Amino acid sequence: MVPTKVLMFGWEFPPYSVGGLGKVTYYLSNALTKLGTKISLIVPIKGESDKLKILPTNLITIKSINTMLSPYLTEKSYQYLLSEEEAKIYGGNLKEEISRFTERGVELAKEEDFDVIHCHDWMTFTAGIKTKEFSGKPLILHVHTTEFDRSCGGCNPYVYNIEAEGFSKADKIIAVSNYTKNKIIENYDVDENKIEVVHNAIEFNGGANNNKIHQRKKVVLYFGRISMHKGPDYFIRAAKKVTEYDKNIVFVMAGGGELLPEMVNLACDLGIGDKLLFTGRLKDEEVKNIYNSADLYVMPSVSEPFGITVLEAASNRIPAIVSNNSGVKEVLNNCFTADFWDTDEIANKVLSILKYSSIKEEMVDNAYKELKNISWDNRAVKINNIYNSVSNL
Amino acid sequence: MVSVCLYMHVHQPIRLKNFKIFDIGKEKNYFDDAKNKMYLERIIKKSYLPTNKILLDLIHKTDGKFKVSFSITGTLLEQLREYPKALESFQKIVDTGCCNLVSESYYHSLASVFSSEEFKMQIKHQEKTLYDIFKVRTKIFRNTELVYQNEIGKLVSEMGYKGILAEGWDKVLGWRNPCFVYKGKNSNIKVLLKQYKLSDDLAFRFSERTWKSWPLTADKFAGWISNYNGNGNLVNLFIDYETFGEHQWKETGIFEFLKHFPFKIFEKGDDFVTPTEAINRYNSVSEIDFPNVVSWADSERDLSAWLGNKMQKTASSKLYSLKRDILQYGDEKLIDDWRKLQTSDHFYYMCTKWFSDGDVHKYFNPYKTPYDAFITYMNILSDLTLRLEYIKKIKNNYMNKQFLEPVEAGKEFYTKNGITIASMEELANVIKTFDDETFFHHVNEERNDFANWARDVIGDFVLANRMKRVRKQATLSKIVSARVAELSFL
Repeated sequence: MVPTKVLMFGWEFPPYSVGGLGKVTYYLSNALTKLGTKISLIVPIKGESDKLKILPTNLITIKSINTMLSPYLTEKSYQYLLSEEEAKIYGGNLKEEISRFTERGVELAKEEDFDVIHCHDWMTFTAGIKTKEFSGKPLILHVHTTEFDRSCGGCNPYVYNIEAEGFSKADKIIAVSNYTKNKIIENYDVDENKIEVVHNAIEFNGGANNNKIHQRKKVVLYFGRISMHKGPDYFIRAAKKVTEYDKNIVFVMAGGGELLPEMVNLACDLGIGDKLLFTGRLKDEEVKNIYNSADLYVMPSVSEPFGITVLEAASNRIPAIVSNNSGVKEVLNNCFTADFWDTDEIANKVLSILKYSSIKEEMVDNAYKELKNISWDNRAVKINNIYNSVSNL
Repeated sequence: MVSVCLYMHVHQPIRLKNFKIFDIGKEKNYFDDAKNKMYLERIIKKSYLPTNKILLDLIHKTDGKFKVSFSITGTLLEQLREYPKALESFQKIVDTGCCNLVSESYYHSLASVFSSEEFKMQIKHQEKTLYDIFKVRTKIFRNTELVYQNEIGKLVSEMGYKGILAEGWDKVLGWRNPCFVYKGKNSNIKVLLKQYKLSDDLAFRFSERTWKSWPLTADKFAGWISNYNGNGNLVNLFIDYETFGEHQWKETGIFEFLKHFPFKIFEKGDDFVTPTEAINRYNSVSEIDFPNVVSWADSERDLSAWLGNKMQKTASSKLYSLKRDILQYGDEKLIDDWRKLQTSDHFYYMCTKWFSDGDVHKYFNPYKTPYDAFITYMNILSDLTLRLEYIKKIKNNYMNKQFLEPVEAGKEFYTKNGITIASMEELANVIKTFDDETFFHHVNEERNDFANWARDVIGDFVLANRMKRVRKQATLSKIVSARVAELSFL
């Protein structure tokens, strides 16, 4: 088999990352190169791009586009982030910025030699479609979230149309879970045979993390962007119920996001300002510490296409309560599931898990065994097969 | 001639309701009546009624030559009280005399592993239940999940049992085969060993299309049994009753199989026996030694599906640690609840052995994960512990409702301002109305008349202790009211 050459419209690499997408681009590219796949990566970068120099291998070449885009932007948050200075350089609104990115992306793509185009999420779809048009190469769209997940119902038609056009023009769609696959089928009227599920994974070396900080209070962790579709308000309402019952439990809400101020207010309104700590956005080193101090991880997402953080928690020997509306439970059996809106049940589980210690011992041991089969290497094999299948079309 | 001993285990647990941590100390019922009803009605319709009809027909059609035996757990019989038709269908079969009832622990528990005293009580409970419902006393025993070892044989033999059922496990048998009657070590009990290969052909493989012997016809199966002629007296088919109609659905042809199977056995010159007939007819060929616990479950034939993981160990040891106090202080309801928590199914739901492979033992399992099963169980156990502590306090005279009753005539409290107080409740009401003069007359540096009255007349030492050093009117009033509330709560 001839090694495939892939043109990938990806997202920022660690340490410059704000969420799952950067990690996926990084680990997936890395695993793909182990199979001999060559990757030309085009990523958006804000400001200086020297952070990209930590390349895992020379099979990857990177070109960056200086842009304000980050994968979870909405028109509102774009305006919020854009300073006056920046408005002179970047597009005045999200729409303009995306056409600027697309134009530049296609220009860069013309300089590359490739067999397959691989795009991650909607902001890159138009660039992918245009690249397909001029090159005639097959297009793969990798769906990590859809507008329906992000918007909790209040779907932006501009974004929806880009996604729908992409899905109809793509040769193959990769969904990160069956949960997401079904959403695509339901909401975008896509033929199910066009969609392949490749679950996300984790870089897991099996090394147990035993340097837990011993503390008197038990810590329940929320870790992710503080956006509506992640269900932070449900976390806080569950926290209220838990702390009423047991005052030795502390909740930590780690991560940044546009709902942060609102959530701080909610916590204060509920009178648990002292029981619920906010960390803001965390650096990698701080992420490690936060996992070290947590006794339980809760992901109450309203809609979570996958949920890599649950795997990270498991690899740090932290048991998890996961929303029923999530993809990660398809690969990790040894976790709790609950409906995100059922804060009584979430509170019940939080209290029970912290009260009966043998749950945790049993669960983390069994989850650990499962993690061994959830590696990027076997995901890369699957994706490489998809590359081959579309290039032979 | 080979004799077929067909024994069927009939059981349904009483499942627990989703008991949240917030329910501890508040919710009184532990059992999910609606869910239990739903499962039971389904099983009655799909399995009990059609199967019993066929069995009864077979007994009539063969002039009583067809024999069968049942063990029916107490937890099921208790639930069947609401379903007289289903219960009656079992009674009719037992009444023919062609059916042996086999005894076991009423609660389908693993008590044999934890406490022989408790185990015996549950057996006696089952014996009484069987007699009440079926007017039958039995000399044959089977333990939950066919758990057996020498000590268990000895124990039930001392209770008067003559035969016991056990797994015909290769590691115990060695070169011998299970198609003979054996004698238990250290006792005179006769051991009937399950022919697990043939039993499992029926119970598990019957509808398995990838199995090389599929489809299994009555003739073929009778032929396999007949092959034991010359190499055994007895083929012990020990299966779950629900094989008929539930594990193997009607559509698999299991009922047709059952209708024809006995006649095929007779055609080949073989017959049927009950366990009692088997031990009377055949002498034991040798002693069989079960030094360790053997069950009929999994490839390990051990207890790991029930007591293997940390949650199961925690839950069971906590449960049995309550034994002494529950039996000493518990009322009938508390003891019954505690025993219902011993039903092995509760522990089985917590099993993680196959869970990681996504291969949950889904059969009638009310939980999404073993962890959910554990949480529910532990919350209930916490509530039970609270109830126990409460009863203990009452019995140790800490709580006594009689403290609330009016005192004997002549022993009332007469206050300085001319009020008569006859009960604790009145005291609570009146105490806050006193003016300073009256109050400090009774409560001062030297004495606390109210505390003394509570101690000497009402007899409530707890209240007296709480009151005796208090000098503030409002506080004292609160203490008395709180005590009234506390006692009224009982």
